[in-house]
Amino acid sequence: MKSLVLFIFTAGLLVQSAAAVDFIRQVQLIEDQTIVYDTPVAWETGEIRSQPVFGTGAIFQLYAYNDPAYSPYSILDAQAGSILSANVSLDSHLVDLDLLGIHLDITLGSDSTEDSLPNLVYEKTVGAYLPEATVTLSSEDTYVPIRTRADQPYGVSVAISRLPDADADVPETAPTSVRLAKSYKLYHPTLHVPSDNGSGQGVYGGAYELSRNGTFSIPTVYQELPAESPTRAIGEETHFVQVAVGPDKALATIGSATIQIWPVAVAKIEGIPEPAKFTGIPANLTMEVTDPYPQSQTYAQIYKGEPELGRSGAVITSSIIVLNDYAPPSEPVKLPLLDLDSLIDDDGIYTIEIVTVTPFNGGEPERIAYTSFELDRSVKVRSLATTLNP
Amino acid sequence: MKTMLYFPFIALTMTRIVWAEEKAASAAHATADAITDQEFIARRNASRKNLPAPTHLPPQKSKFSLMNLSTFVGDGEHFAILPQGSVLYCPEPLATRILASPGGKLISFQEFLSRNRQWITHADVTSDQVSGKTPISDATLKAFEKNAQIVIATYQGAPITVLKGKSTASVPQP
Repeated sequence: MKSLVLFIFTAGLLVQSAAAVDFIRQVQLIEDQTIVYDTPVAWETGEIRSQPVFGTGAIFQLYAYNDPAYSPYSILDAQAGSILSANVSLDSHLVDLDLLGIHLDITLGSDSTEDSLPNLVYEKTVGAYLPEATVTLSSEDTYVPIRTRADQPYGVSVAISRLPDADADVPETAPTSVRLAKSYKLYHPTLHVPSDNGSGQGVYGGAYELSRNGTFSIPTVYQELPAESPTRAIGEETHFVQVAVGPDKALATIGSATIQIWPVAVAKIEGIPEPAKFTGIPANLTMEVTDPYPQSQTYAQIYKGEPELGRSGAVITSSIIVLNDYAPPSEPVKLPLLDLDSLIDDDGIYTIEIVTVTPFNGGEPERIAYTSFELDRSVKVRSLATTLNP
Repeated sequence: MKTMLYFPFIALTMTRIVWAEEKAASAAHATADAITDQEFIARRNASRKNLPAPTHLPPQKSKFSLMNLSTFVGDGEHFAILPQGSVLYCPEPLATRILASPGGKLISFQEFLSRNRQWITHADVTSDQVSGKTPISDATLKAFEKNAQIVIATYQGAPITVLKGKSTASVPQP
C-alpha cells in the first residue's frame, strides 16, 4: 500500500489557550482498525498540520460548539463546505489537504453546557484510492451561508472524480461507487437552531448509487422537511456523498453541502371591525408579520377600491420593515398603521395589503395579507342633522 | 446582531431602485400572492414527476461518530474527550475516572491534565508504538504501575490511539 505523506505548514492554529475545546479529529483507516488523533483548534482561520495520511485513507472531522453567548444564530460560514479540499497526486504520493478558510462565526473554545458534546460540523475523507466528491448547492438568494425559502427550489450539483475505471489497477478494496444521500435538521421555531438532543433530525429514504465520474446536476430540488405546514418549515438540508471503506464497508463522507431553509412570511392586519366599516379615518389598525425573510422589505400599502393583485398603493410609512440579517426575527413584528388620514381622500372601499420583497419572485413584491373596509363618514353627519331638528 | 430598520418611504424607493436591474432581467415575474401549502405541495409533487415523497428515517449511525471513537475521562466536575485506545494505563482505583459517557463540563485535554496532574499524566509514544508494530516496553509499563496514575498516549503533544497487537501498516514519519 502506497503511503501518502501530508505536510501543511502549521501557523497559529494550534491551541494557545488551554480553554479551547474545538478540535479536528483525524481518523486513520488501517485495514480493520482506526487510529484517532485529536488536534485542538483555537483560532478562527489558519492552517493546521495533519498527521501523515496512510493506510486506506483518513477521515478529517471538525468538531465545534455553537456558542449561544456570541449569537443565537452562530453557525459556520458556508465556506466551511470547502475547508477541506484534497488533491491527490499519485505520482508524487502527496495529498494536498487545504484546511484554509475555516471561517467560524463562533467563538472557539467557548464554554460548554453540562454534559454536552461539540457538534460534528464538517467531515471529509481522503485516501490514495478513494474517490473525491464536491457538492455544490445554489439558491436565488446569494447570501452566504447558502439559504432559501421553504417554497423555493434550489439546485444541487455533485462532481465525482477518481472513481477507478473498470480496467484500473487498484486494490480490491478500492471503492468503485459512491452513495449520494440527503439528511435534514428541523430548527426550533423561534430559536432557529437544531435541537441539542438530536430530535427533529434524520435522513431521507432513497439514496443514489453513482459509479461514474462526472458532474451530476439536479436543477430543481424542493425541501422535504417534515413540517406540519410545508411553507412554514424551518431547518436545513444536507446533501452528502459517502464511500464504503474498510472490510466492514463503513460509510465515510467524502463531500457534503448544507442549505438553510427559512419559512414563508405570514401576516395579518388587526383592528378591522366586523362588518368592516368605519365612520371615520381608522386610527387603531396594526399589522403583524411573522418570519419576514432575513433579506426583505415588508410594508403595508393602501389604495381605494377592491383588492387587486399587482396594484401599487400608497405605502404606510409606519409599517416598513427592512431586514438584512442571518435569520428571521425570533418574535413576530407588530407595527401600527399610522397617518392614514394623509393617504385617504374620499369615502368608499379601501384595501390594505401587506407585501414583501425578497430575492425571490424576481425581486417583485409578494402579497402576504390583505383586507378591505368601507369608509362612510356621511353616516355621522346624518345623525347630527337628526338631533338638531326639534 | 439583528439589523431591523424602519425606513421612511424614500429609503424604500432607493432600495427598490437598486433591485430594478434584477427586476429587468426577470420580466416574467409580477406581483404574486404568497403560495399556500396546497399549491406548494402540488408544485413539489410535479417536480418529482409524481414519484412518492421521500421517507423520513432516523439519523444515520456512523461508525466514525464522536461517541464510537472516543473515550471520556472525568474528575466529577469536568471531562475531556480522548481518542479511543489512548489510555495506556489505568490503575484499578482510578477506573471510575474513565467514563462511558460525558459527565460535567467539557474542557480541553491540556486543561484537564493541568487540573488533575495528581492522578493523570501523558506519555509520548513513537509512530511504531501507535501502529502496534512495537509494543510499549515492560519497563515502561512497570513505571506506569509504580506511578499509579492514568497514562494517556500522546503524539506530538496531542492524544492518540495506540493499537494493540502488531499491525502490518507502518506509520510514516512526518
